[in-house]
Amino acid sequence: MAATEQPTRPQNGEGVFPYFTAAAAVLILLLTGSILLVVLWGAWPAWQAFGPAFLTTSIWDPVQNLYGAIPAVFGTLITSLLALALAGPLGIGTAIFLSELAPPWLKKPASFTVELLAAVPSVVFGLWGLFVLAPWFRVGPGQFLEDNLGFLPLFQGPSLGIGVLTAGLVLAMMILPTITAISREVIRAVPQELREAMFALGSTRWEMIAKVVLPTSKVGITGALLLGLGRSLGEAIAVTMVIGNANLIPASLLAPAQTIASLIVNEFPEAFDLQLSALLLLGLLLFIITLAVNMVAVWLVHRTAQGIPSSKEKRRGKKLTPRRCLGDGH
Amino acid sequence: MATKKIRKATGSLLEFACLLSALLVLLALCLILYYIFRRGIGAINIPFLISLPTPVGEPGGGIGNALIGSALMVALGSLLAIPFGIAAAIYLDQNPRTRLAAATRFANRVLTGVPSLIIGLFVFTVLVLRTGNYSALAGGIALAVMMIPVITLSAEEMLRLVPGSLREASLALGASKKQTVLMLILPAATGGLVVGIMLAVALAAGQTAPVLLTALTSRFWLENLNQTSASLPVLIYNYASSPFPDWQEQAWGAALVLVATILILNVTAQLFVVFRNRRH
Amino acid sequence: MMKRKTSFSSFFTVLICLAILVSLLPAAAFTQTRRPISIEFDGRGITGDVSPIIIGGRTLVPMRVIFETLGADVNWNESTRTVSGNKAGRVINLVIGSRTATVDGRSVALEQPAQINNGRTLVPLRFVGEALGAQVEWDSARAIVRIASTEASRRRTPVEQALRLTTGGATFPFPLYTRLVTEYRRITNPAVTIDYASVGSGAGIRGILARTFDFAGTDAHLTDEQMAQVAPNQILHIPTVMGAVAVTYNVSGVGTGLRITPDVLADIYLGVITRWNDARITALNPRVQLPDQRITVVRRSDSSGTTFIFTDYLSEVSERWQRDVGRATAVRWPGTTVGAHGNAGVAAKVSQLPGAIGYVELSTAIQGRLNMAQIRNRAGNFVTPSVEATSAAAAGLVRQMPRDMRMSLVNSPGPEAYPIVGLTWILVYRDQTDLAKARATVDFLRWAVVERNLEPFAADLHYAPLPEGVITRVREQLQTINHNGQAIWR
Repeated sequence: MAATEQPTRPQNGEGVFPYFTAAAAVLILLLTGSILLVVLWGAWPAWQAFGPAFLTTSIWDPVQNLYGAIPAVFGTLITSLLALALAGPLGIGTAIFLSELAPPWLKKPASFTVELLAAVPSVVFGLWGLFVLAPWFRVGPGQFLEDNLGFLPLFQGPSLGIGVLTAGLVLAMMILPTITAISREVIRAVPQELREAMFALGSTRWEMIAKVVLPTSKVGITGALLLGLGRSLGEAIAVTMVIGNANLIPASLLAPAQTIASLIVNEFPEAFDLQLSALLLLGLLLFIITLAVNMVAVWLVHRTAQGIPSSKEKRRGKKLTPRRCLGDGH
Repeated sequence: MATKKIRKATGSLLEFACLLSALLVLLALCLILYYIFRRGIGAINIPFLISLPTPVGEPGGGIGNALIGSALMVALGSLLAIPFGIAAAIYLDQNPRTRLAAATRFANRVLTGVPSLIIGLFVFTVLVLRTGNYSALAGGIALAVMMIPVITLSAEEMLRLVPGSLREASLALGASKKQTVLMLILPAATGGLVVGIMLAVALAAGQTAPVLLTALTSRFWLENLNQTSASLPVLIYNYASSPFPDWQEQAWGAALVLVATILILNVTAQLFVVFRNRRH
Repeated sequence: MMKRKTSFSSFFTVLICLAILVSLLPAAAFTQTRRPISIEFDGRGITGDVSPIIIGGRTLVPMRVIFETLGADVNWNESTRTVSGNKAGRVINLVIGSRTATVDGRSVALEQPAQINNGRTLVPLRFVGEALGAQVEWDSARAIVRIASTEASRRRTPVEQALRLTTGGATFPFPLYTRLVTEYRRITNPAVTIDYASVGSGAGIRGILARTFDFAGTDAHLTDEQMAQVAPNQILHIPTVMGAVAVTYNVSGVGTGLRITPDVLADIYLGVITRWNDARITALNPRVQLPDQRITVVRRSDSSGTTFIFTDYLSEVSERWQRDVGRATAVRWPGTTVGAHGNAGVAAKVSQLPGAIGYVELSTAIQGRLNMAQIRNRAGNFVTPSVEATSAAAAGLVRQMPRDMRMSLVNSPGPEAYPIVGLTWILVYRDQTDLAKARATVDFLRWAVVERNLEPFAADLHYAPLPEGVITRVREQLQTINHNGQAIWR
């Protein structure tokens, strides 16, 4: 296509173009910097008032203007880890099925469906969680756990339908597409030659998966799990609708709790001054946690993608695309 | 021989477990879609799609203004974010090892991790408070800020997929860098770019908090970009927690419209890519 | 082939049209007979002893109703069978059965003559209304005839330019405000669009302080510190309606009307009373069989004005609550509680969870047919929440109302008063910066609150209207709103 254009003097043909693209890059820097500044500026009064104690106290009292982050941080971590524990095995199993076991005619449409679901907005998941999952969970699995495992502190009743476990379930549903899609990509990136070598050695299909595919893509799958975790940490609307919103460290998995994001969503509309600032400080905290998880994940995924010996062109073609790494944000 | 049998049996068992998990995942996800469809379809008809919301107690009412508001704000966000994101990606692709590139890459990564509420708050602080009014324009800008990192990331990745041999050939023929990028690299990467953009659009269309903080909501038609505007996700959130059954019904209807639109956009984009790849 | 196809499709078109017509006809007949027509004058319903009827597409109304509503004298001349109306010198004559009427001696053709039906004289509504200078509109969807008086339209400074007010805040009065602004636009001021976003009282207050809202709604009045952020007396609190917060419960075998005292309510929410058959509850309800069931406390998870009213009440009646928890739109709830989003969420949770107790605004409780507790008020009477009991609460407190109308209505001393009620306010700047917006704001508040046009809608949604004394104060407050020192009120 370039050949149809008359080649002109390359040095002067550039014009402002390089400056324009560099300006865009600089603008991204500025944008990120100013967002951080605005949040820091908003969170500063709360940091001044509480300092590091904000991270180590568990009272959240808008009347006394006392704020501590522990219950929200705890709730955020527990629900997200729960979601990971539920969605991780399922997602990886599905990924193995879709890339190794499924008949060829099923691979494409099924993978496509899973990827599509990553685009369903979270408010829709919340709607479904509140009106469908929670009422069913209260009388079904929740009641079952309360009746049969209620002697364990972990499953102490009453089963309310909303609470830590329900939030974990909704989050699991939301991160399943992300985990599945990325794991599938990572597994597909394992070179065909390795598989064939295993078969040549007389392995069964599963032994090939267990001895070659999984070890090779181990790090990448870990990355996929962490990206899923990152998404669930920042999820606000859907969790808010099903977690029960109690600013306490929950006594059991059936009890209501609170996450950072749900606390912000719940109290932001009525918050003022110090409360507002404390919410922003929480936002900053969430942002640091999410960022850390994301960075580790991206680093891990890249490491696998680059660490597999394969022809260069081929690797490029199968490389992870960020659309899969990103999921649908918050 | 016996060990071989056992090995085979274990393998089949584990493979069966994978099949089961795949079935479970697909079933659960399809159930959500099915449920949204079942609850939402009853609310949807032509008047619902084209009319304004009515006050409580009056029958009828629709999501016309929210549909238009969402479409306009997402379009505005795309208009800002797409050239911006692609330009930044071109810079990263052309100058991969400069210090600016490293910093931008990091900043972009940071941006993808910022909770959406905080992006809304940012635009609220620098734009709405400054000008003193909520506007669809501010909403579009907030959505653009959400979309930029997604587009930049995917565009950079897609540009990298264009083989180096192609670039070298173009430069060898005497084309300038700009010409190479605009005439060769971008067209070659179009398929991937479109997929990234569609994902960003889907992400933007589903945002609640950033839009609520910047464009607020409205119960009237959007007459110009300086006015407050309704949007689908905000409408769903508000109506879902209202005590009025007809509003809850409309929340499901709006959710179905939103999901259907996003899914159609995604399918279109994927088909576009498949079609392009076939032609090449 | 082609030809055949065309004739086929046209045949179908005709068939479908016929089918539609046939299906429409009985429906039209039904709307005439089934749906009573109501009349509104300047937004308020008018009731006559004979309901209006539609003949030949024209609405006819009893003559007294329309003439007297519009402030005209009406006479009936039996010998000439003539109705004559006189208003401010304008004379209208209608002869029964005649298609010609006169206005100040000038003949005017009528589509439907005046007539006598069941011994009542009926006159064509639109003709009479317009001849007397009023505006008449027919809302076919709701079968309402709307009449706007000349006084109403003349007093209103017609805003030529389309104007949009951006407002928002409290969620609690949102349903009412959506109806009010639509009605205001329809009846009095089509150029003015008031857009109210239900974003929460706190966001409303932040909006008015930052001047991003032209006016704001709130369920919690500004604190002294917030008032200090602007010049003294700069932000006016205009109360609009009052609402009650009902205590609802789901106890097996127990119907509505359970009796609860303030201290019992506080102790339930403090986690001191944990079972429904607690001696303190059974003592209040000797004839109710209360089960040995755990009490599950449900409360709002999102910060809200409803929570403010409820905790304000508990703080008022319980020292321990005041000390340990306090009053706010979101508080640190003692013990294990279940949070639910919105009034609807609380209502749903209470009905789902056996043994639950919760608080919701009255309209939610009534719409959901929830059990409502009778609460013992300050006078010692057990009162069921209702619109009347809410009004009674305000009546008991009017005298103590401070100048700036920032006050709490909970625990009113009135004997009939329901104790858990609150006001909702509109916050507006006294010194306005934009003349057109100032005019529209004052006019809207005057129309809605001072002229009481909000009352029919408030009643529908179970909000209680303000007592007379408060409306007078609102009027005084609105009269102080000015633009560059010029009062807006005329």
